[in-house]
Amino acid sequence: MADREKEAKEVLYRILSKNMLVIEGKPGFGKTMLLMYAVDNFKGRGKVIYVNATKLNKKLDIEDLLRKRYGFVKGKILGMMPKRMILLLDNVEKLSQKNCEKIRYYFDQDYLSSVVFTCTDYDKLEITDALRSRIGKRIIKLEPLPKETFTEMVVERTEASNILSREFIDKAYDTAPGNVKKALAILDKACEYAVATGKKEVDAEDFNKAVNTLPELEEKEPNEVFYCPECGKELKKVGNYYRCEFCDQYCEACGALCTDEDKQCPECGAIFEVEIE
Amino acid sequence: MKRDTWFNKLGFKTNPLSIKPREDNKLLGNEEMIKRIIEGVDKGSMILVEGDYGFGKSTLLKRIIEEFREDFRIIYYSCNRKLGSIDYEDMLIKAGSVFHKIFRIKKKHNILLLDEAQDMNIKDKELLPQYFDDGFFHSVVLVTNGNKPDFKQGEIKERIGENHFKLKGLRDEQAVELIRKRIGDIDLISDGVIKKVFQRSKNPRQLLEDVEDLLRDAVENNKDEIKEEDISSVLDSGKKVQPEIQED
Repeated sequence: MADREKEAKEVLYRILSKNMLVIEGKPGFGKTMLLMYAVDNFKGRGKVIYVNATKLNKKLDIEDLLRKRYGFVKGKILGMMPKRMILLLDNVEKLSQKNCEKIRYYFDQDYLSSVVFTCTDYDKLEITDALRSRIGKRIIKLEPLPKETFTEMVVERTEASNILSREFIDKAYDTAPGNVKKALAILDKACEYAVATGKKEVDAEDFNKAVNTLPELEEKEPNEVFYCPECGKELKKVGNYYRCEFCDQYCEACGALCTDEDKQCPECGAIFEVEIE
Repeated sequence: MKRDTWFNKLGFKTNPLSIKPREDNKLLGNEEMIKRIIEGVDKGSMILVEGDYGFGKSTLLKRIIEEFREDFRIIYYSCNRKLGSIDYEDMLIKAGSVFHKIFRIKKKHNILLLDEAQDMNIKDKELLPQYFDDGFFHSVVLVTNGNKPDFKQGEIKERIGENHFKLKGLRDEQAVELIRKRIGDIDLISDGVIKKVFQRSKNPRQLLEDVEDLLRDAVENNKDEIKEEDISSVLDSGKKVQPEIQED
């Protein structure tokens, strides 16, 4: 985070002051990293919802996201909504008018305390004027990390070992100028190959192998992350619900809440096994 | 986590310049008009309100909701959320009790708030007067952002009649009043500076955002007073957060 300190401070401030904010930057520039930094700072209070828009296999439904945080009885049956949530929407290229309208409404009514969007180009982002008017000038444009800074950062991190020479660090940066995520992935793989073959230092062979296998590198980004309002641990997705493995008692099959007395799940009817001593 | 934002340092618990509408917010310069709008809703009429973004349409709607929520069922509908037509039948059934829902009976005497009404299509506009005349809606408030409101003809225009209001912008003194109400008489920013900031956009919401950024800059950089030259240096550069090291 040392290299995006200003931006990180800006994100935290905008969340605390209940603003809408847009982070603009090309892939690998550190948008998700900034959001994860925000998650780290605000989690544990059960207030953060992170959604990666590209990883949603279904349509984005803001209402549903807010309700899900409240579980079946409070959310689905009573239709209650948690207040003052922080919504982090990663990699948004397009928001339907319906979703824009909902975000605007929930933001105005303070169900959403603050909303942070990330995108590659704010000018091309398809959102309603009402939302743009609320975002105003609150836009962080991420500049590519300069090569020098990148090299320094990697050298600092790998200081203890001499596994990476500056030559390869520079080379990795050049394969995708500014895309820190990609460059780091290449270096990571190169080190892995070097270690696997018993070498103490990455050589050209390892590096080229890493560059060539790069397309296989899956982008590992979280999809939806929720945190338990009781204990702050990450929630686990069971069926349609997010449950805390420590604080909730739920049906393993569908995720519905249940009690000690239940002999079968009130929602899906799965019969709970009775332990016989 | 650190809680040392500018507003914390100035003794506020939350951001006093938040752009979120609040029902206790007075709409400066428009209070007389709002009184007439609320009277109109009370009597039962179709009302058209025009206003640019940031001029207080959402705040007005919030005021109406607070005023009538105990006596009427209020239906809020934003016209830009669907591409198709408004389903008034469904809207009226859903507005009712369980009884209405089971027997699919439409509830009467609702107040309908139509936000972003510039996006209503022809069918929506044609049907609305019917439902209004049949007593399903006690009052209808149409809110448009003044871009291209087209309610100049047909039955909907007849129903609106004199009840066509335009939200006014702020005068300079009212802009100062708006800010002073939120932050009090702190010396950090003078009335003159507030007026200068307001002149840039003439938009109340933009004014709140700009003053927030100025105060933040002043507190974070330990300035005693915001000067006129700070306005452009802070607000025009604020768009971009520069990386600390800029080398090739």
